[in-house]
Amino acid sequence: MAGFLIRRLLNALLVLAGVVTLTFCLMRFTEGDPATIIALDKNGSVLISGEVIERLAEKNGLHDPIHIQYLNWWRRVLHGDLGNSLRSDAPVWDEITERFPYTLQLAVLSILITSLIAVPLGICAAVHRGRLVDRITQWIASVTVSVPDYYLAIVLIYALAVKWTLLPAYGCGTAAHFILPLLVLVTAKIGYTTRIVSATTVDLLSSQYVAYAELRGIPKCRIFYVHILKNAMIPILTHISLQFLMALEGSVIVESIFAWPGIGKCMTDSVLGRDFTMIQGLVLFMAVLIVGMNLVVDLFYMFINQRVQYDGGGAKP
Amino acid sequence: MKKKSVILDVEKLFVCFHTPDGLVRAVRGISFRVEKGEVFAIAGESGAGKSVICRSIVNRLEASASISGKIRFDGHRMLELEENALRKIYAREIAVLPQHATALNPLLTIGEHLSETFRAHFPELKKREIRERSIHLLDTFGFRDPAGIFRTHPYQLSGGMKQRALLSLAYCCDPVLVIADEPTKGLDPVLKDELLETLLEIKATRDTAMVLITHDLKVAHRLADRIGIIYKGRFMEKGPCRQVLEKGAHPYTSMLINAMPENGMAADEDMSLPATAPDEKNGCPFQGRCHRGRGETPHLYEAKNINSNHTVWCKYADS
Amino acid sequence: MTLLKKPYVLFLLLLMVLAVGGDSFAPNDPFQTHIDQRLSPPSVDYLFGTDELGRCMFSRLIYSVRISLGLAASILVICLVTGTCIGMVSGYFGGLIDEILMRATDMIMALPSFIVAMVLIGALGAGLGNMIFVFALTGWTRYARLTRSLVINIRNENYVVTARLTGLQSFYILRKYILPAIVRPLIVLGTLGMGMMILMTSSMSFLGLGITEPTPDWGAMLSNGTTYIRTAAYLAIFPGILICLTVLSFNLLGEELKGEKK
Repeated sequence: MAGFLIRRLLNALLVLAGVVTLTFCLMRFTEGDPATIIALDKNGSVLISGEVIERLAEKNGLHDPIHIQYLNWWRRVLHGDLGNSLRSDAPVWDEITERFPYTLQLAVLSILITSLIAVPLGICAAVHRGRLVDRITQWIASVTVSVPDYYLAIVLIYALAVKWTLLPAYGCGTAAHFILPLLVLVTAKIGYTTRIVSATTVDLLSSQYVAYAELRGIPKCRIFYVHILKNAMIPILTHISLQFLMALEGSVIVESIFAWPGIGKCMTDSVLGRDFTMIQGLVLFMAVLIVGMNLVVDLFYMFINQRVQYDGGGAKP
Repeated sequence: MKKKSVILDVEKLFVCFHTPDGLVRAVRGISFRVEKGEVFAIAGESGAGKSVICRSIVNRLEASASISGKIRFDGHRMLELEENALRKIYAREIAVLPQHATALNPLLTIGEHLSETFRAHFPELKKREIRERSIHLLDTFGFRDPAGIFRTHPYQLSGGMKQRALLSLAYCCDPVLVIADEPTKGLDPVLKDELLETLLEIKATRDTAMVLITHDLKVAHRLADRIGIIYKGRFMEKGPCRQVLEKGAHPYTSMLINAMPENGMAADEDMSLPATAPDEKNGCPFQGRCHRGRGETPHLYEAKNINSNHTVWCKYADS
Repeated sequence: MTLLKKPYVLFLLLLMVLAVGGDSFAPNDPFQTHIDQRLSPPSVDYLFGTDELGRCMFSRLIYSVRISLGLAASILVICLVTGTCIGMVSGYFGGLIDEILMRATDMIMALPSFIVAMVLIGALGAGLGNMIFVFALTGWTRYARLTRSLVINIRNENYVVTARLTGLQSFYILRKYILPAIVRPLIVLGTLGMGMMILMTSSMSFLGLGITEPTPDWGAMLSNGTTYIRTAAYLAIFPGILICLTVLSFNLLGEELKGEKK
């Protein structure tokens, strides 16, 4: 168990080291040399003299040998200095910490709402397998998986914000601003989650120990709460925690459409605006989040489900 | 043999399943009685309908099954009972000994399994009493550290210990009848012997009757008082265990005995043959594989009494 | 042949015909601008209306089938081929190669593929070739995983063991004995993957990072339509419906094939 923990931690550190290296490479592999990009972004399309470029290159240490630059990058990352945005000149770290809470709000709320609907619905569909509830759930799942979230967002904006002007379409600030983005995020995930919950429960319902609990005369409600629900919670909770990662990915599109000032929107803007220091910072930040989340999920899984084999690597369902 | 009271009476049990491939007649007119404290074994090859009989007794057949016949247990008509009434009988009067430890919930400790069963049937018991009873029970089932076992999860136990945990769970409410569906299936020889010893000990110390479903004639021979050999949902032979297994009168019985590993698994070529005879409604189901009956015109499935409690369903048996 | 009776299969066949014959079915030139007829609503001449440059939306939609489906399909084929090769090598030979390949697969699978693709597009620039490269880079992993597990199951089957013992070359065994046995589940996963790929590529174009004007693409057209949502909502509605139907059809076909296997 301790061995598994150490291996898992080492693995995570290795991945993070890989990401630091990759973000370093990202800057070098882009078209055009970095100094020109920086200069272009600072001064717009105005003609830039070679002197300006030279000065910028000097300032950013671009004349040093590549391995010195690499080591410098490592030192800066370890000191939490991710540089300044090429666009706004604000420190990248400050920008990220300012925007991340917005993304987190949407992610947590959407996952909460999705779970509150999908878990009871999935269990209901599993208990009434093959009946109307089950078939409707299956259909909703098929359809919602096939609708791109940006299209759903546009349709909702058109219907609720443009046609009937019930809700604000863009920005954030009031509670009403939450409704549309949440609606999109929840709809996108609900079908899939319900399906997973229902499949898990169906497996449990046909399990030997539920059958044997019935044969021991255990009351129905205890079978449901103790033998089915408690056992179903492991895979369901694992799935829900993995959804945080998917929420990060989903935030890019949804935040861009609804002009939500989170890190997803920041990502799109930076990529479109070729703000490479910002991209570097965001990628590093997300990598730490993802690796940390995966670690937590694995540990959680290991802790609660002792049947898992400690063979390192993917202890996922 | 002293005349004892009959506690389980199965009368003309028929079970059919409606499957997409048509009607499957799993059990076709099985009748038997089990007396108090007696072990009745039902033996036969896989697919003969043994498990279906088992599940009929506890009224746990799937909805696609149609059942006819009567199953009387201690004054209850099992097939007519409602869910709630059945729940009161389970574990307390009829307990099932599951085949495999997957019947234990991996997230609950052995103690929680026992306690929930006690609580379901004796709601008046206090927590402390339940605990004491459980630990005492585990002690009688040969656990060296019953208080420790009470707190362990199934995955922490060895195979043999899991078997004993299952046994203590089946006997926890001191039932009148235990139904053991192939308890030795899939166990390695050492565990099998161990389990058999424990079962013999239980038989000697408790007055609990048992319906033992098995395909292992050796287990039946050591444990059972009476035995019924079934083939394709019908009895071939029924009688006192020793008499049937030592002086078997039905060709199928001798075939099964010859097929045992100790007898060199001499499955004579008949065994591998498919049933060729038209399997008519009242015809002998075994005729197609019988070394005497094969090739002859189909004959009826008829009972012959060898003596007052030994019956053979074979045309060629000497009565 | 019962598959041919399903509406979604017919729809997919129609799309394929449109993808091949594209321009010959379009009533108007998809690139011809008509400044005097900008943003005109659906009419007989322009079935789905015109966009902000007066181009026929119906023709652009028909033409875009080739671009959007072709893009998704080519990425998928590259992913399938790469993934199958890597999975077969990994599963068949095992040992150190397997360890290295699977560690790499695990690592890539742990990354959010869409964000990786976005960042790389940002670095490399938009365009068809870069799109294919960037999505193929992360997309092969699920096929490698599946192939590996299938191959490991088959590797110890008697007929494969016999083939190995008779001294046949590994490459020959992989091609003649193992590949045919694993094709079916791969096709199922590929069909389901097609829907996902369409969603991902069109999302990228929607953000303005994929295929850009004037080439018609579902995501780009939708994104373009969003600008005029207050005046000409049909510009966004029609491409969206097309995407939904296509993805749904691929998913339903995948589910059907998956069910048939069992």
